[in-house]
Amino acid sequence: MISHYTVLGLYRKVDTFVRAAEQVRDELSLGNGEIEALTSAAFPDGALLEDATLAHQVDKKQFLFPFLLGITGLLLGSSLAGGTGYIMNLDVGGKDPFSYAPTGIITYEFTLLFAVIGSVLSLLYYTGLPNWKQRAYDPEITCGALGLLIKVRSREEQERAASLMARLGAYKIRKGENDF
Amino acid sequence: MSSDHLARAHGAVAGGGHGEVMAMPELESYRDPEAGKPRADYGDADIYRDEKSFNEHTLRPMFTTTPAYFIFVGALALVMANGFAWFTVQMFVGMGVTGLHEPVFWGSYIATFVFWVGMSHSGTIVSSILRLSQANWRRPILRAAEAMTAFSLLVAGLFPLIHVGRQWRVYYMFPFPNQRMLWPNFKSPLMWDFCAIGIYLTGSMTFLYIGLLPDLAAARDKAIADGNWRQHYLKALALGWRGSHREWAVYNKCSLFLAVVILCIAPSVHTIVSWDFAMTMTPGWHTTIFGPYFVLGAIYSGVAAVITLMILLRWIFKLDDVIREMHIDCLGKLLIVIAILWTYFYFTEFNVTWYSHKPEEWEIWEWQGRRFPHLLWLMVGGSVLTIFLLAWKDIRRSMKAMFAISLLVNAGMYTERYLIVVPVLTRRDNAFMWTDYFPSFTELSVIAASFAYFVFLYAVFIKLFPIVTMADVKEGVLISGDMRLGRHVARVQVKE
Repeated sequence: MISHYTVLGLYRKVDTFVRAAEQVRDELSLGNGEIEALTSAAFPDGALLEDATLAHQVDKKQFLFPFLLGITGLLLGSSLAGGTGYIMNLDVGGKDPFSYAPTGIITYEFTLLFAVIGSVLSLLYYTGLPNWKQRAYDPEITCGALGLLIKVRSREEQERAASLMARLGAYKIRKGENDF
Repeated sequence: MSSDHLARAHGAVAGGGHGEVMAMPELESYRDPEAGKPRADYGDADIYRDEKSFNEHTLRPMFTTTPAYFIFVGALALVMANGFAWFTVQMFVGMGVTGLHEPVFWGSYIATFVFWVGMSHSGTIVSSILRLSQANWRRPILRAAEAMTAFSLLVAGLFPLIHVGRQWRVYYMFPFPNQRMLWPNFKSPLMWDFCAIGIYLTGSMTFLYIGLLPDLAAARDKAIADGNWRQHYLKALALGWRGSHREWAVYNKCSLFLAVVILCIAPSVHTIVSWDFAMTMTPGWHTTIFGPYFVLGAIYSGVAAVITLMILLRWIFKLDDVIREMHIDCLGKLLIVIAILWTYFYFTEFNVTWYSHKPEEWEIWEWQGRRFPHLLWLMVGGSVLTIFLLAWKDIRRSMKAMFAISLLVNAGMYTERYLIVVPVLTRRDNAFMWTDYFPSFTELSVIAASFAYFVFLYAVFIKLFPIVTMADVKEGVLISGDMRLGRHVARVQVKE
């Protein structure tokens, strides 16, 4: 079952890429999430595609994972270190079984550990990685080529997009199915 | 690498004219081999190549292996085997084979532990600070520094186990129910160490791996193209990365966030290590300055170790055009600042003891001077000499001089750890208990093995993963350009 068709055009120059991306988007009426830039290095937001909405959407939510997991770590660390004092109480001259300094240290460390785990989970969740399936890609991208990847609904649109990209300076075109 | 591969990138000045500030050059001028010629006076240019040859060049240490490499790794394996053999003897015979005895129960193992934890600090801290401050010169050095952190911690983590004896009972440290109802005592600084180092190791490994992702993809593509065996694990570890706009956006945010978190973890780790000492009531250790003093000492030795590693990578893998004199120069400047701060902390600690002249504390300082004058000179003299020498730009840009200085700093910092641990215990409590300590052959063998283990891990890492932060270097080139300012052509960088 084919749900979508893809076209990946490779460009050498940034300006050529940007012009092509704008025209392809306009002519095929592509919406957010139907056009993507593949590059070997991070370009500043909005340098290649005018659609920075995606980055901003991710911005707001990405820290939710580390925040929530950080709170989990905080509760776990304080329970582990503080609770140990009560459950496995060592009577040392009538001192309070709860000890602030060790509990604070262990809680701090556990909070940060879980925040690290949370940030990795957020990276995996928002990038959709790991994804080892065959997807639209070309090894030349890691060698400096700029990849313009689009998703269309029909084979006719795919053919149209491919010829449009070639006309707009793409030196290599790859077509695919269900591999956006 | 033939000269044909040099991309003629850096002659491209946008426009020209009489003093007018010109627009930035087009970004793709850096990708166009015909754009211009490399300028010899550009010490801060990070890349002169097109990306394909840049990939080939920076991945060469990974994909090309000479017989000398195997001989070197074999020699390291011998040193490690010797250390492991003596450690096995120690396990069977007991701690009596070491030089430790009453009241010197902490010796060179603990000094080495503190040294390795310290070494681990600079890599991640420097990497985090430079990432957060968007320092452009950070780019080629990040990977090597982050890997140093991870491997130093792996080595450091062994020493508490080697030191405490009865290693088969290490599981007592883990919080899980057992038949004897044993449970970790979280009030013990040893447990704090256990948690802090474990968590720092997890964080550092994560930081290293996340930073590797885009470069793993580049290495994966090359391995697949070459039919290299590395493609199998590179495909898996790259997680299907393809450098999409979305991936980069999320990745950059995640990297920055991780940098902040790591920046919170790292100082806490060495502070906790310092509390192993400071939380005791022992004169010479029980001082409030130990936390920041240890952290600063850790960064000091770590930055020096990064310099050592960078220069070795330059020499061995001919990465002169990626790890440039400018990078070593900047690290040298960083080292001066930290050396000054460390020296200030050291003299602050000394000054307070000298002024109060409390007998039990002053005796330790005096004993240091009488028993270990050579070590004291190496530590203090090395630091002062470092500050003095690094003030000269010519020295900071001389690889041989910087290599020697970085080794001197770390020799001094190892000495510092030894002088923190040993003199205090040999002059502890009542005078009738005063004694001396010298590490036994067993300890020296194990310590030598730890150094070999660190180098071994690093050598293996270089053959399995990209050692240069390729994506970061490429980004640096993308966002840099030339600008004419009056009679000068200056390097400018886009920052948002």
